[in-house]
Amino acid sequence: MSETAMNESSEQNESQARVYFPGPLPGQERFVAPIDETPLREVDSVDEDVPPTSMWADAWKTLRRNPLFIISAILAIVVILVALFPNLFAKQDPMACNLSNSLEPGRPGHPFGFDLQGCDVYSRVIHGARTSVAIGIMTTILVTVFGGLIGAIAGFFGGWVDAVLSRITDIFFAIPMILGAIVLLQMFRTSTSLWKIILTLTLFGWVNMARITRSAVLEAKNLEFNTASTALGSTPLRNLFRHIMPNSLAPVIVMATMSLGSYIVSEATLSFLGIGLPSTVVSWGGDISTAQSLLTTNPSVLFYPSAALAITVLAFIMMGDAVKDALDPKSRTA
Amino acid sequence: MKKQSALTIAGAGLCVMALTLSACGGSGGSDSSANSTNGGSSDAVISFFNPEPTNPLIPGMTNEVGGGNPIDLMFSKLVRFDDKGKPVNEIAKQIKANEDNTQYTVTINDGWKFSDGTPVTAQSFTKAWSWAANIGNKPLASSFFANIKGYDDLQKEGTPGEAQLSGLKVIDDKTFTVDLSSPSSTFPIQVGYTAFAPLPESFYKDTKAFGEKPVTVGPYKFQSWEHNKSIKLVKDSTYKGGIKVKNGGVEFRSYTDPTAAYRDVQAGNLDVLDTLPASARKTFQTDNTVQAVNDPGSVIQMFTIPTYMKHFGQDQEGKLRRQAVSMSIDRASIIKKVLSGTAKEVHDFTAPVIPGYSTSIKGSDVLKYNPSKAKELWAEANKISPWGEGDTFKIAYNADGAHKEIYDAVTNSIKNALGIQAAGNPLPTFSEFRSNVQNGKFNDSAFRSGWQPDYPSPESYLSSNFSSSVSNGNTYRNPEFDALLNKAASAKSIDEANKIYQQSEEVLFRDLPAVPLYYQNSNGVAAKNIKGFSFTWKGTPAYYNISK
Amino acid sequence: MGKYLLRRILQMIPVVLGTTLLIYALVFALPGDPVAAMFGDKPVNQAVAAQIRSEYNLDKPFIVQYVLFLKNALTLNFGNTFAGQPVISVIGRAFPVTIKLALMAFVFEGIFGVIFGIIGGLTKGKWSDNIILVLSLLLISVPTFVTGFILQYLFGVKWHLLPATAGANPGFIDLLMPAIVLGSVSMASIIRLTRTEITSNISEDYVRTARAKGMSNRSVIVRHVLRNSLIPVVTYLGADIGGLMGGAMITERIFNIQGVGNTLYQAILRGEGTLVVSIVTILVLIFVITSLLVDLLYAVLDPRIRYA
Repeated sequence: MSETAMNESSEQNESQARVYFPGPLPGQERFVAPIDETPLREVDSVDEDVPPTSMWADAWKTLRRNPLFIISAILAIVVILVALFPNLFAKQDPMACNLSNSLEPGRPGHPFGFDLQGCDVYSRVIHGARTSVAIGIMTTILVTVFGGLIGAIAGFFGGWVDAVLSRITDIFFAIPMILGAIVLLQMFRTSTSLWKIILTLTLFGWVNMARITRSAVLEAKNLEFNTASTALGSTPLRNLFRHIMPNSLAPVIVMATMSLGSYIVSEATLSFLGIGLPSTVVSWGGDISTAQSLLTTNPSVLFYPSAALAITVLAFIMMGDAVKDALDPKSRTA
Repeated sequence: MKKQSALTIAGAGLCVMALTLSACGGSGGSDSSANSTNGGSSDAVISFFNPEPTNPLIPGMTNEVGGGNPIDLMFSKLVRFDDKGKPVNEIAKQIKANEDNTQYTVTINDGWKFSDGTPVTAQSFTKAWSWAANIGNKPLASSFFANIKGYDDLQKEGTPGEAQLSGLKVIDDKTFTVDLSSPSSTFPIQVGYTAFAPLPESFYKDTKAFGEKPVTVGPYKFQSWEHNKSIKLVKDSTYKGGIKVKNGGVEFRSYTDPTAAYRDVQAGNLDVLDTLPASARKTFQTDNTVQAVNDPGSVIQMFTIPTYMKHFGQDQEGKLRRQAVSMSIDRASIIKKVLSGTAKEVHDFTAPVIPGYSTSIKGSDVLKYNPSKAKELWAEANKISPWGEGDTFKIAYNADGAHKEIYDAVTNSIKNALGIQAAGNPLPTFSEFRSNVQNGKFNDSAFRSGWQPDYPSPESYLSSNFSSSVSNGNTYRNPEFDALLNKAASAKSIDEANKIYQQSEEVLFRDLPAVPLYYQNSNGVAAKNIKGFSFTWKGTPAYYNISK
Repeated sequence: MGKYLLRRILQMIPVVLGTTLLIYALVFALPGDPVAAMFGDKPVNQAVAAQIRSEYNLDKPFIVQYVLFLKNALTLNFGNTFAGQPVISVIGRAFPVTIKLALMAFVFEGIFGVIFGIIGGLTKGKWSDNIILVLSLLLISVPTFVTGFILQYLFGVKWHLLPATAGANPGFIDLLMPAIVLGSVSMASIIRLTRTEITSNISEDYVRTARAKGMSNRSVIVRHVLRNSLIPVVTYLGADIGGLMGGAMITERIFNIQGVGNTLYQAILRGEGTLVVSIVTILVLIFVITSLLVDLLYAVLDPRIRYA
């Protein structure tokens, strides 16, 4: 497979070479000042003692100075801390529910009030973070790695590899998620329910990521740096991982950070359709879906988990934007 | 943004027009608040919420409300039930039992005709019943005929489609006799159920065509069925029965979710909704865009604790635990807070609108919330065989229905009172849920078991759920209970039978094969301009009483 | 080009076979017995149940069922639903309304998504960009069933501006609100994607060159930046059209639209294999065709991409 790719790129080299060999036509003469007339200035000189900085190191340097990134990173860290150590933030047991408190408004010790079952909303929001953030982050990582890889391979190699992978993607696109979810939930009845949800969302989420990555790679593989790198003797795979993938990252990062929120929401949708997490697991999605019937009477019960979800999504979208900008050398110079 | 809002307003103007048009073209003014001024007309067509039927419109093929509602309006039976659930002769002139309730002689009234003009005869009944009992026709409601002699012969594979029940004998055009395999005092009530409707000769020629476009004999006749859209019925002026029809017709609109129908009633696009969505429980009675009805109904909600479930067998330990669980449920709070008063507190195993209902059956105090007693009983049971640290008391329900809120509340209450783990156990589909019930697969979980009766008799509740002779996934066996059911079946009068049924419920309260939770109210909403909105004993709207 | 098209069309055959097999297997693996559910809460008459099972081939092994389905499908006989309706006519009723709904949602999300995305990208970091960020954030983090109910309540019931549900024969106005609800989630993704591409393309060398040549800002944006930013957006939109049709389960339920999503959802709950497979096969064809169109569009948008 790599051979065809090689051939393709070498063909391109030849065609480009043909343009340059006949020598300058009239009016195309180049005038270059001799190097010794204007010596390199101090700032322009290359420090040859220091190893070249990597793309990631550069990006990190930019990120550290970006207020947007700092704010969103702090938000994300807080959300993750809450998810990891909910007991530090809420003393109440989220599963301790008493109907006598049903829909009571907030009072000292219970700032957000109570839901229909008489559970403390504040403590459910705090304890729900773990499930929801885990679903969001784990699914995003799995989808990005899996879908991104498949899309990149399809877009880069083209030919029958692309055909096979793209058609598999088509098939997965058409499977109704609810059908897959019901079957998967049944197949893995014994395992932890959280993983079943993550698995289901990944199985039906990777296709979108694969298509986006494929299109970005298709676009990037025709750019000049790729040709240049091949001319310098780089192997196609090295090209893919060192040059094309980093340069196709922007839409992938945007999609990933956008999807993170939508995966958390998907869990709510699964709950709404009755195939989400059992009520023994506290999650924002589950609480949003239960509170939906209180929309017109007690909107606050719906508001708090939704707001927590929105803040999390905001943090990750902003962080995604900042990372994407930092990775793009052009936006740095601008 | 400005442009967009202009578009919305223009759109709104169009929409009113479009709606009125579709209303005029479709149903003759069933909706549209615009022409509600001519109220009180007796030929108005009233629109109702209805799920799309899952079977053809054939009485013996139908066992769910989507098809049952239109069929009940199109087919009169031997008897009908008045709004209180009292059986009244309709097509039957007389239904006479022999000495021991094993043979009935039915005489039918003169002059009844099907909508194709053919007369209703004794054969119209016997052939229809035989058809519905015959396995070759794949009837879903065949079990209703199980007590008629000859039923077993029609249940053998390869039975010809025209084979008749040997227990049905036509004496003359207007008379036939029914031989039963075992005594039944409720037979004259049972024949009021949908599956016992008479059918015309044309039915047997082309059942498929009939199922799409039935020939009827009832207060309404069939007009049209647009699948997934609506079923339209019009008043049948030749109807000879006792129902006073106060409207010109009924339109059953197809809905998959009652919430959407509720919004349509609020917006004035639908006249009547008889299934209250959970999201409207708190508000429907104070909602000034609709009129609400919330009356005691015939549906009882329970959960069954299967006798094969560990710790809950039919022994001393199981008895103690069942009582403890029942006493640990704060039913009053659940009805008040979660159900917002759309249910009544439970006292027996039937329902408040059913003749034979009683609030004072011996042993019914296990239905009272008593956490300290519950804890005592639970501790006593633990002495027999300890409840494991990690054990969870689970109640299964199908997640494609609206049960989560209720079972979350029930299990929370059990958890709080007994100090054990308890949780709902949702199964994704009704089909999986029912398969597990039927096949006895709930080894570690109780399961939801609501019951809507087919005819107004305690027998419909008790034998279908607890009798050893019915295989409905129930594993409860108690000869004392079975004997009382048999005794009631051969009772001389319905009142006498109902007394015996109450005695049999005392047995149930001792054993608690299922734990009653509440009686679900018959409730729903109607548009403001609707008159006469009320429910029958069964929990369906009294369609014929509604006008505008 | 012609050869490429032919190849892509031939590829549809294994895709359709693969999908039908997979879906059939999934429906077969659905927990529970669909025939038992037909009896509702009533006792199951095993003899009748056996008859029904043999009528729908449910008593045969999985692979036999699948082959029988394929054989019948080749003669365009898709069998009957459990309700005794021909599958073909059920599909014929469900698709027209859903196609209407999906196209409306598609146009809505495409137009508004790209416009908001461009505004956001061109005014990066300014207040208009931030407002658009918050808007897309809201669209993403509030589930459809909540937005759907809120809009339905406000526009349909409270203000009487739009019909609360779509009704039996929905027209443009009846489907307007469902289409907006359906398209809004993808719209958020399109906004973000467009914005990203615009911001990264606007600092490309060719933009500087075009500006240096004295090209007006407007034509730089429209002719260079936009065209080069649209590839991922077009991909997303292309992938979405099939999703809009099959994935409208919740929207169709809220607005009582008897379309593909609703029919599919009910069929899955009932375990109706043939109906599910038939619907999904059509959806797959739509996916394959749109993905072909998208690939062809790449070549139009980016002359460097060529198909042999």
